[in-house]
Amino acid sequence: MLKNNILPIEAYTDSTWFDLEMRHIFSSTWAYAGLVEDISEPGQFKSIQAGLNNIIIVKGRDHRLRAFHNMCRLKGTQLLRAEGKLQKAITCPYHDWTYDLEGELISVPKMDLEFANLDKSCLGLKQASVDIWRGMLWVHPEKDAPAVTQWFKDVEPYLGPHQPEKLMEAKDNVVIEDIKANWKIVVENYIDHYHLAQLHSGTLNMYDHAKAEFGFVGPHFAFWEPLDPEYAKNLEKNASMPLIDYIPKEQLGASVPMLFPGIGLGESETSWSVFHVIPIAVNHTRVEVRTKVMPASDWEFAKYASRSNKFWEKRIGPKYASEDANHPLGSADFMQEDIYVCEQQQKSYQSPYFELGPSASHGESPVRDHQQVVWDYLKPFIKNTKEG
Amino acid sequence: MEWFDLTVKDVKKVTKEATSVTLSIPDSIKNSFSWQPGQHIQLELTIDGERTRRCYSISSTWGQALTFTVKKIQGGKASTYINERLKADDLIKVTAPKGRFTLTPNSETRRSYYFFAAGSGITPIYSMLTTLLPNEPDSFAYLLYSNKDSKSTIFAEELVHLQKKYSDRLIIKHCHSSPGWFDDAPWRKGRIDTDAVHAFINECPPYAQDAQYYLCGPGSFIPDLKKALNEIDVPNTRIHMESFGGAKTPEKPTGDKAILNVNFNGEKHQIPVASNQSLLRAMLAEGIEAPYSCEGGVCGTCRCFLTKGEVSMQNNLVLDETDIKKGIILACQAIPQSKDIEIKYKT
Ligand code: FES
Ligand SMILES: [Fe+2]
Repeated sequence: MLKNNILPIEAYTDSTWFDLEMRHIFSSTWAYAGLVEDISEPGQFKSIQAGLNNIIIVKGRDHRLRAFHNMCRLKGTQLLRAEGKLQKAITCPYHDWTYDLEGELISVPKMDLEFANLDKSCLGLKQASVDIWRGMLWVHPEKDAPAVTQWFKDVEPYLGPHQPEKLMEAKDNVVIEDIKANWKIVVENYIDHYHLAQLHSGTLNMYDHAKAEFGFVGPHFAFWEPLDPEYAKNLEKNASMPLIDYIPKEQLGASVPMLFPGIGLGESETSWSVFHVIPIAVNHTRVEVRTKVMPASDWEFAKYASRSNKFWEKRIGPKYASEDANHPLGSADFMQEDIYVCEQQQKSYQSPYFELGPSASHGESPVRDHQQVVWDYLKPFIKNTKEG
Repeated sequence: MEWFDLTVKDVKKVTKEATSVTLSIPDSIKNSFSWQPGQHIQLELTIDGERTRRCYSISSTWGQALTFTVKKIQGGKASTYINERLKADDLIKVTAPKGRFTLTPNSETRRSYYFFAAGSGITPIYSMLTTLLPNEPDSFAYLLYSNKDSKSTIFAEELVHLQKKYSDRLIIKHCHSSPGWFDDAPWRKGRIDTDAVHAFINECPPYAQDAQYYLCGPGSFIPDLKKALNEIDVPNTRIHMESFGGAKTPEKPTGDKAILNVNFNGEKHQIPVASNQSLLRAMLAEGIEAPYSCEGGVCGTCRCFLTKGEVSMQNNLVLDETDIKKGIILACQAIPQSKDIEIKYKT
């Protein structure tokens, strides 16, 4: 009998596993760092926690982004916080050591008095890598990281024709959810095909799940499904938002890849979103979702919403109509439905009576494949654990 | 330096004032003649009984026949000869390709390349561009190219085709110092100056974040553009330069007559250096084949150690303070400032 047992249950409950994942997965791969428009002007910077590394990205007047580990070379103090704008240099708040935009140490207070023969040239900031791919910012802790395009090369052909740079971020639309579940449970739920028609029977029925095509390409997961025929029949009228106008007809649908580790995209006929899975603790995961849509006026959006209202009213509903709208299963919101099942699963994984059930051979194959990817990363570092 | 007698395979006018020359490379010397985009060869021509040597950049695409392109310079003996008299089947003396101003594509690399070229400075950059675009599919190229007008623009048509073929990865903008009446308006009037460089980068920011900058042009083009780039935070480690179109130094440097002692290839020489003569020129005049390439203080090929005496350097875009402290100098730029000079080469 197939089971989702490539990884042991401890992988979801034991903080030793979590620490290893932070170190060997989240601190050693290209990490999502936001959207290009987050840093649009020279001098602007942003710091990103990527696994164990805090990395700053800063734009020079040459419009090139630089990336450094956010640590002063004297005591490791964090140099810059969150987001902001700097002039020409980066100064550490602790002892005012100052670095230029290339990360070179340029000034040390009382240098001659305090440090005999200090070679400033060996004390520049540790460099990291940064690049732009598909309208997103990416950072890598290594200075000479392999190109981001190489990392995504094999999965790229399976992604949607969307051009995120040409879309605009929906207003006040950043969704942040704190989920009481291990990051892998959140990812596995995102890539699980088996649940779509059941859990989301009332919320994701604008796509034809039976026609979904999906699978892993290296460490990354690709997924595409066409529009539901009834929705597609009168798409222009039924769409709740302006359609992304350059998607070829045969590609209309939803491309929902999960890039490794934990960067989900939702690329649909009307929107493009990033679903960023951020591990906080072994049983705590934060998800940050940012969404972009066609650049159009508020009036245009209102027009689509009201025009399609009738169609969606009939179609969208909660999993259980008897539930209160405050309950995830009564919410008619697919994200709430997913969070609910993830948290329930995490709870059970902690029960001594928990036993893995069978695994759906087709619909849950992505879950097993993702476990395999994680296992391949961690195998060399796991002691005394039997291989799945 | 080894000289090879090669046959001219083809001579082709590319503009009214510029000619491309393709050489036949016999199989027996193919290995010595493998080259990287950006490199150049040296020619020795005997024109009306007088021997002249010149460096010309390779303009062809990697893997294709070795071609160099020469723009006729007013009063330029070699360039006029090549443009007006050289023909297929002629024999010319050539050295193997060399030079550090190179771009070697790698299919897995992803970069933004900024190219700044003035006039015939396009020739090595054209080789880089046409090699880069097909061989490094994830990279982007941005060319800012200045000429008098569109008629005098070398590779004008070829660049239009290239632009069409790689429209999603290549941006080309032209500056014309005196645009013709019937020309399409250039991106900007005038030469490439600081403002043009800054405007170009503002308008065309790098998409891939590993950006590299290549400069090729005559006279003060290189120091001026390097300064313009430095002003907007571009570090020197990302700037690659080739001085071009003759090593004309505008003001005559003043120097004393001096004696140079040099230990080269195990042989000791003692030679005179004339006023205003570079150590390099003095050595070449005595038949010492000291290494050099750009003769513009840009490439660093001519570096050596000053072990005695004093020199001044006209143009130095290579050596930094620590190099100079170590006594490193550029022979092509070094003019004696004391009577007794001694240099040595690292072996
Ligand atoms: S020959 Fe290039 S710097 Fe002297
Ligand atoms: Fe779901």
